[in-house]
Formats: sequence, structure tokens, C-alpha cells
Amino acid sequence: MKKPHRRAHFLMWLIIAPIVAITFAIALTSRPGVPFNETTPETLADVNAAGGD
Amino acid sequence: MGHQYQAIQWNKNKLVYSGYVLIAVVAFLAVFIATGLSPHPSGNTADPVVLTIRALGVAAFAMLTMILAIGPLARLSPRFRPMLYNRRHLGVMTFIVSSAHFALALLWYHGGGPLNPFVSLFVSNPLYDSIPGFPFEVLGFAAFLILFALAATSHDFWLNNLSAPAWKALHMLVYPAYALLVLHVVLGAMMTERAIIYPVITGVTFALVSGLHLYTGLLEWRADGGMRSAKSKGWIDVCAPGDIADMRAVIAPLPKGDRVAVFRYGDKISAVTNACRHQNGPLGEGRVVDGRITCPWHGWQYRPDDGVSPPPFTEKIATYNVRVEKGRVFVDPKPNAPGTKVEPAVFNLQEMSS
Repeated sequence: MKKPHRRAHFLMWLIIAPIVAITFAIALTSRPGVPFNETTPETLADVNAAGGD
Repeated sequence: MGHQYQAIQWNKNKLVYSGYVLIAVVAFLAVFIATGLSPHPSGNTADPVVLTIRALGVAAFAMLTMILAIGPLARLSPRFRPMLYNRRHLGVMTFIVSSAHFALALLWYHGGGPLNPFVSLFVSNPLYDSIPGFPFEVLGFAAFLILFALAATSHDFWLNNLSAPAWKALHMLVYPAYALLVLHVVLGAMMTERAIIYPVITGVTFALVSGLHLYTGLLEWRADGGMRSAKSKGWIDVCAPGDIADMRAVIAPLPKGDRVAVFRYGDKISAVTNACRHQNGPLGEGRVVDGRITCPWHGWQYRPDDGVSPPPFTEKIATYNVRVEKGRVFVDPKPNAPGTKVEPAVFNLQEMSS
């Protein structure tokens, strides 16, 4: 590669790497946890109301 | 080379290579889908179409990762240079696999509604201000458009018509395309799949690729920094003749950031520009094969004394005046017009070996 392309290549990765790394870190901390089953409490309530165990 | 344009430069070796890649891709897809369809302890079964979309996406991502690793690896070790010869074919095959992934995903997720699938792609999920819910499909589509442009201009017709610098600049868009694909995976599969393997594989893969490019880029930057000292208008003291391995070259800095490749072949020394006419490949990292300087990237050849490609090809590169004095090789930093014949500097081989 000639010098302008060598420079452009390096600068491009200097920009890309932190942007992706930061987005990756934010996404990692924003990942949904263990799925919450909203029907469980009601189901349990129904079972309890019916006198089941 | 420039003798004629061919959409894809097939030869027996490339046919065999492309055959192996095709078999590997098909085998990967088969194993991925078969594994996904195997009975799960929970009793749930995966959708074969969704599995196929995933398999194609993973294959395309893995192939692009390999393509982007080849360049810096070849700069770090000559052992990887043969892979450069087939990189373009691998790139086109990556585009074909990613096209299948894109088409299937578009039809499956956006083809059944009242909206045009391409409109649906952009408006069905409006959470553009959210990281966990971001419409990651848009990022994949943007990457796909770039890959399309690169695949469409991958043959030498476009390389010759756009010129090597413009073509190279266009094809450097593969780096933003890769970043978009990584984000497509990060905000897509990584957010919906809770297994830790997804962030681990994605993170390690991107760290490796970006680390390789940043490291080799830093090496080149430092080398260019060293070139700033080469401001002298006089002849440049490159090295001793014995410092150049036979049939190899030493790359020396020149003013204005250019580089000269000083080749030794037997008791002769010639100097040419370090940039190949094809894709500006580093000629000085190549060697003299059958009396011709051979580019390490794609095998383009030039005669060392005049920088002209052997018939029927017509490419020419700049030559430099060179002389050997008092056991040192000197190069005139002013390039000659491409194709200018320069008598090689001759030195005493016996003195060098004694």
C-alpha cells in the first residue's frame, strides 16, 4: 500500500475499534437476564386458590 | 494482469481452492442445522428456516473474519502470503453466503406483511434510541450493501478502470462493513440468545481482528515516521550489498513517504518502486522468480532493470538509479518514468562472501 492508504487503514481501525468495543460493552451490560415468566405468579395463585400444592 | 480483463481469474488451483471452500461452507451449514434440529431436553424444536438463517449468517461472519485476518497475518509472517492469492475468491463467496442470509431473513421476517419488505426492515422496529432493542437488521443491511459494492467491483476490469488507488480506497470500506456486521451480531443474536458463548466468540473474534490490524498499522506508522528522516535530496545510503538476501529485497524509505525496493539477484542490484501496479502490493516483500520481481500478493511480475511486465503484459513501474560504492548501496530518491531501463549496479560477490 502507498502511504495515504496505510494512514487511512490505521486511522480507520483507530476509529472502528473503540466504537465497536464501547457498543459491545454497553450491549453486554444491557443483555436481558434470566427470562421472567409473567404467568407464573398467577398460575401459582390459581393453584393455591384451588388448594393444590 | 492488464493483458485482458476477466471477471474471475480461474485456474486449476483456484478451482480446487474454491471447491474446498464450497465443501467447507456446505458441511458447516449441514452440521449447524443438523445440530440445531436435534431434540432438545426441553422438548422444544428449533425452526429449520430460522436455523438456516442463523447458519448462513454465522458462516458469512466467519468467512469475513478470516478474510480480514489474512492481510495483517501476511504482513507479520510470509507463511500466510499464499492465502492472499485466493482472498478475492473467498470474498466473493462470502458475499454469496451473506446474500442468502439476507434474502432468507428479509422474506422470513418481513415478507409476510402488508409493507414492502425493504420498508418493513426499517420501520417495523422503531427503537433506534435503544441499545437492547435496536433494530440490528438495519446494520446488517448496511453491511450487505457495502459487500455488494465490493463484490461487484472485485474483478480487474474495475481495478483498471477505477485505478489502483481509487479501487483500494473503495475496498477499504470492508472495514466499516465488518464493524457493522459485528454490531449486527452484538445487538442481534447476542441480545436474544442468553448463552455466554455468543458474547465470548464475538468479542474474541473482533479483538483478534482489530488487534491484528491496529498492530500492523502501528508498525507501518512507525516505519513511515522513520521515513520523515529521509529528507535528503542526495543519494540515499540503503545498506551493504550483503544485507540483501539473494533474490530478495530491502525496502528503504524515500522522501514524501514513498518506498523503494532494492533487489539483489546474484551480483546485480536494481531498485524499483515498492508499490505494485495491481493493488499497490509491497513488491519488496516479494522475490525474484525466473528473473522477474514477483509481487507477493497476486504474483504480478516485472523485470528488475526496467520495471516492465513480461510480454504479453504491458504494466510498468518506476525504476530508480542505483550504484554500489565503498561497500554500500546507494539509491537516487528521484524516480525514473515507469519502464525506464536502468543498468543494474554490479558488485563483487566474492568480496561480499569473504
